Amino acid sequence: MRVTSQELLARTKREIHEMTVAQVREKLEKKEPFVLVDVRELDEYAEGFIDGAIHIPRGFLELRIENAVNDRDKEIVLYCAGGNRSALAAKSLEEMGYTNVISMAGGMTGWRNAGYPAKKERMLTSEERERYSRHLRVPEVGEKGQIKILDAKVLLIGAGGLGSPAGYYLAAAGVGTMGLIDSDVVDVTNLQRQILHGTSDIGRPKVVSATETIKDLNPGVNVVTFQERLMSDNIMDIIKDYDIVVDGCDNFPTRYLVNDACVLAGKPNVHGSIYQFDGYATVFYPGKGPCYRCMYPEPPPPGMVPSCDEAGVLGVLPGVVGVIQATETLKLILGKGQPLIGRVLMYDALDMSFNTFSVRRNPACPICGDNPTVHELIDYEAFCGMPAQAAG
Amino acid sequence: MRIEVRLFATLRRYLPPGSKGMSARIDVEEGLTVSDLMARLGIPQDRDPESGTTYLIIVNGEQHDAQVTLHDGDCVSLYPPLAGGTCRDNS
Repeated sequence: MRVTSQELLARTKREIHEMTVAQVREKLEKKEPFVLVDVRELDEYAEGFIDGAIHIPRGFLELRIENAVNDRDKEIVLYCAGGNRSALAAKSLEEMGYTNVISMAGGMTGWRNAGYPAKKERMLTSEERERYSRHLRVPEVGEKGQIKILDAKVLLIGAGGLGSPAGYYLAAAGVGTMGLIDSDVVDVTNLQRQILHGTSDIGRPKVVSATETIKDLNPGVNVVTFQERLMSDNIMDIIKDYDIVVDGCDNFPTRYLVNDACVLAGKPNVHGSIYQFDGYATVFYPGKGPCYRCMYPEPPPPGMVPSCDEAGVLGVLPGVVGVIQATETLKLILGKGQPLIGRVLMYDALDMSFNTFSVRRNPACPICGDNPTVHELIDYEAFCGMPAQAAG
Repeated sequence: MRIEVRLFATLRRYLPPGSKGMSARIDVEEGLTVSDLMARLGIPQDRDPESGTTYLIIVNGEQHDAQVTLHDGDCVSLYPPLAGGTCRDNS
């Protein structure tokens, strides 16, 4: 039997239950236990939806409804733009055995015309959906997690050995705003490990070549560069705009400077440090665990700990440690898993072993202890007894 | 008594001759502290051990200060601070 779409709709609406937008609004205000389902397409949903609704596009409704609503007797209210698609959808759900399905007559248009509020959430664009499709399939990331990553602001201290892999992977992951601070220019001896830079970049500022590499990988990343030394007089102004600081610096004064600034500003500090075949990674999260000073209250005397340029480093080592820093950063952004707060991961490349050990907050810590004595940034070069060196 | 010593990164050089990797098992007398052990191995201590040490000291997985007394079978790990990250080649 042939029927027109109008005849099908009219017949369907006679066979199903409908509610007015006012009735649905009342149910929501009374917090009645029902499931509100928006069956429109993604682009329509992105323009605004009823707060509390779950989104299952009409084309996937029968396939996905059981995951959302397993109880066949649960009350379900469907809505679309005008009330036609939701009517057809209601009929289909009834055929699946759902006993209490209602279509909201008038749909979202009627809802808006009644002056009721629509909620609008940040949604991924179709390009973002494709680029990050492998993230979207991971339940711990998904669309909401990817949006968190896209909205995140991460500051990389140093665009060198650790900052290169950390920054490169964080850019690939879609970190929306990435600050890069490094005063150096690219040297040929950097290229054994600093993968953000190439041979043609020798002599160019690292923040410039790093930005170009990151932008080529992911043009969506907003890269903010600071070609300057990180100092007591500029760090607070720089880090205030960022959610997370990734410390990949190369000297003790900057380690303590970054630590103290992060404690004072309440910013998580994702730490990585390396030497020849060994590396550490940890997360210093003010209020949740120890800080760098809890581990190392005072810097070693100058010359006691040889620097990387004196001792050398296996080129791939910062790759491993920097990617661990990137991983911890993403976990902090997503709020998933167990970050390395109060734990240090120690990587021994010669033994190819990873070990973690716990470190505790020191109640006597001068900056994060119970009675802190350091309330503002100090002269860290003097503190470390070292000549001034640039961050990064 | 016999203890295990694990020295990381810049401290590897202070392992006794013949040690493999980053650890060594050594025989020591009862009552030895970590500070004593460091002196025994020739590890420089920059300040009065009473007030702390440059290194992070982990004994059997727990953080301790240099005055902790060691016991038979203990595993002592010393983690030095590492400056390194980007490594300044052109400084």
